[in-house]
Amino acid sequence: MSHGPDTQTGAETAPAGPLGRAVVALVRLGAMLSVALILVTFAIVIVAITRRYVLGQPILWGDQLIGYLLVAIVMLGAAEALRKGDHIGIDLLADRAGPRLKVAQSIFSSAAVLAFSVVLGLTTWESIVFARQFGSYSVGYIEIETWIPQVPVLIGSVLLGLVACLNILRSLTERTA
Amino acid sequence: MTLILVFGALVLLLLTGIPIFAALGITATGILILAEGSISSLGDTVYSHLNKPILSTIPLFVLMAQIMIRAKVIDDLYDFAHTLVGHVKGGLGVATVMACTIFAAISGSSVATALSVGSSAIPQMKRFGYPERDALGVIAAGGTLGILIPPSGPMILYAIVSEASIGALFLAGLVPGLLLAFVFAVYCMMQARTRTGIDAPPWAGWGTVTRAFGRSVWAILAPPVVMGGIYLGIFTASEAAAVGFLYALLVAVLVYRNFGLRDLWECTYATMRTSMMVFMIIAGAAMFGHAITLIRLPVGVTETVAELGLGPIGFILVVMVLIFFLGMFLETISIILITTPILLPTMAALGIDPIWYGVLLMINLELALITPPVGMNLFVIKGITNAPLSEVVRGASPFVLLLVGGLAVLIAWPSLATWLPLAAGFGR
Repeated sequence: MSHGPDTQTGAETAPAGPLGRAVVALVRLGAMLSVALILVTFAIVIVAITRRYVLGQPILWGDQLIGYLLVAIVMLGAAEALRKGDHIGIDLLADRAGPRLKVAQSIFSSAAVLAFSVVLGLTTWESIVFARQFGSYSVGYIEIETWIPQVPVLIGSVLLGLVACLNILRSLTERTA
Repeated sequence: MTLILVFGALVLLLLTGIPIFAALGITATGILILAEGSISSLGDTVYSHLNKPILSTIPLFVLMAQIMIRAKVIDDLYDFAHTLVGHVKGGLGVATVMACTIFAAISGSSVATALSVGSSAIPQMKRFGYPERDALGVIAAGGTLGILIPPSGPMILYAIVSEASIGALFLAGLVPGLLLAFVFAVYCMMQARTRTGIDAPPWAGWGTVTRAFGRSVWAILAPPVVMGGIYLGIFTASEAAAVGFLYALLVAVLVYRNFGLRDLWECTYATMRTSMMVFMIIAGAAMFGHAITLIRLPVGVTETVAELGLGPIGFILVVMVLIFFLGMFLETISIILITTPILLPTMAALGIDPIWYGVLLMINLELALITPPVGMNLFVIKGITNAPLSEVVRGASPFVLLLVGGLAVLIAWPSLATWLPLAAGFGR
């Protein structure tokens, strides 16, 4: 895939006080879980291949579980990528801005991520509440309540929002300094 | 009019430098609030677009490439190409294109290709008197092969959005990819003949070549191991990606013996971060796609094209010009995810083969990687060499013309892309 450091947005979020350190710790925990889940996904695919082609006993639930895991991988890791400044943005104009405008741009950028995370978090919360009230179950080989695999989206939205808040705080502090 | 308003709003947001996923999500939210008065469907939309097992191919292919780079399997690949053809004038350029082609068939990523081959090839080319500009250009251009020669991350994304067969797309990209590599190599030799001061290392002898081949065989075997299963219809794309990962891991641990658990964790962490960039754009594009579908934007485009009386070729030409310009400002993943849902209904109405279009799109996206102001490979080369960006751009510019030529040839002869998947039984 096509990415380069020149077009990545932001930089690593430095912890701002105990609250900041707590947020960073949470985000890093999410990232570690995401990394572990990538390895679990690999293991499931390899087991599925072995069962299907060697033992002739395909795993029926593999794809469904991998789908759920992917949602968790993405949402638990997204905030770490934001903290490290990995997400791509078009910095054609931002690069040419002066120091004050750059700070304003940085605050705007983090506010946009915060808005995104609020929209995603609130609409996912509504879905989860609805699914719980309705008592719907997933269709397929893994029969679980449909709200359960959606929870990582909610957690991920909160983590993204927290990192965006930290970034805003950091930009404001820089501006004051 | 709606199209202009929607894209105008999106472009404005993008130009502010906010992350692309946020720009897509916010534009979608605005559209839904104005058109529907409700955004409650967005959470479900993101969830259902991320809950796709086929997406697991992306981190698994990235991880395979990460392991091969970290274990230095790729260094041996360049060494072999260099030993084999480096003694010919212009041969180092050819060796670079060869290494890029083989690594493209391992990594699925243009940036990874440019980055890993570039760090070995550029110092060698400069050492033997190649003008810096030429060395930078061939790496920038050779790297772009990563998204055309399978496996290709952008191709996987296009296949998911267009619901085209990944296997058919991979096969369709193979011949145009190899032809472009051949054209690049020939150009390198011709360019070297016009330069003075380029030396060629002496012929190393068959013994050295054989030893270099022996060391690089593990990298050379990776593409057939990974892609063979898909082409033969044995493996799904995600199974092939997992097999590739396992292959890379076994080679690194058992053959190179320089890869431990800590390396695995660090490679997976790097993979997670790389994949997040892609996945979050997928999330934002899912919101955007949902919103524009609700306001019937793709249908509107189809109706407009019908009114204009554009035939398939006319439509393709207009789209290719549009994507070329988009490619100057947007990166590949966003272009695929934003344009494909809008264009698909029109393509279906005009009877355009989505596999052919997919390959055309990839070549156009290769152009996007080496055209300023936003060309990812240009930035990567600048990053690893500290060369001025203008020098990288000048070096890559002849290859822009070659790629445009390749695009024109493929528009004129679609069968260059479509015959192989048809011959392999896809689409029957």
